[in-house]
Amino acid sequence: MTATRWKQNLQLMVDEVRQWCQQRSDKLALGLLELRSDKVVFFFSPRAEQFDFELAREQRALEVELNTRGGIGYAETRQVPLWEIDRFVSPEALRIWPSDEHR
Amino acid sequence: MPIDAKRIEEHLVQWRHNRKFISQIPRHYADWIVTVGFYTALHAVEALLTADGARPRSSHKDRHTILQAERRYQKIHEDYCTLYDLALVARYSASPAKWLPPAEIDEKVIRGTVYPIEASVRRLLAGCKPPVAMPDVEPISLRPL
Repeated sequence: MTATRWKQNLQLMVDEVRQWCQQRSDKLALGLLELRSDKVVFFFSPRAEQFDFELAREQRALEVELNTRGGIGYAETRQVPLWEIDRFVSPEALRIWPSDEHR
Repeated sequence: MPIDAKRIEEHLVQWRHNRKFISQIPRHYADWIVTVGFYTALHAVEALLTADGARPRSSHKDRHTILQAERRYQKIHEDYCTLYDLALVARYSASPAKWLPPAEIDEKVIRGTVYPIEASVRRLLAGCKPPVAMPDVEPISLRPL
């Protein structure tokens, strides 16, 4: 796969994940994207202070989608506390949701 | 590839070993219950993947990729990756009890993820050729808070 193609696929997947986040705006506070050398990681923080098990179940379905139709290599999702986000997510991560149009 | 019966047995021994330890951890060490719960589940899953002749796995990523890829593992993937997610925060958070209160460990982690993973592994192992019997075990009994 060429770099251009991968970038196109990534953009499409980011758009899809943004929509996924928007559909869960009642329970989601933040969605971030971190590009690592061996994988793509989407981080989600719930509005609640505690781990959201329902959101986790929905993340699993999203992972299958990302890995079977994404065309971006291995991707995973993680749920991390908003109040401790810097412990788990690199400062270089990109905020994908809320995007400016959703804020 | 021939099925490595010895390796399957070793994972099942380690599964029981870790599982037994969960009951010995005081419940207010919920972060460690989650961590040991994850490694309990990991060995059950490894026993299954070994019995299934899955390709070699040297990382969590390898394991997750296999679990995501096959419909057969769908339920395990759901619970196992949720437990992985929880265990990661449990290990590195400075306030893990805020993220997952100790009072919820039994219902949401042990009954909600560890038991379902074990049940799926048991069912799939029994359907392997040759079938692998997962030993019967006592329920995990968490120490009172």
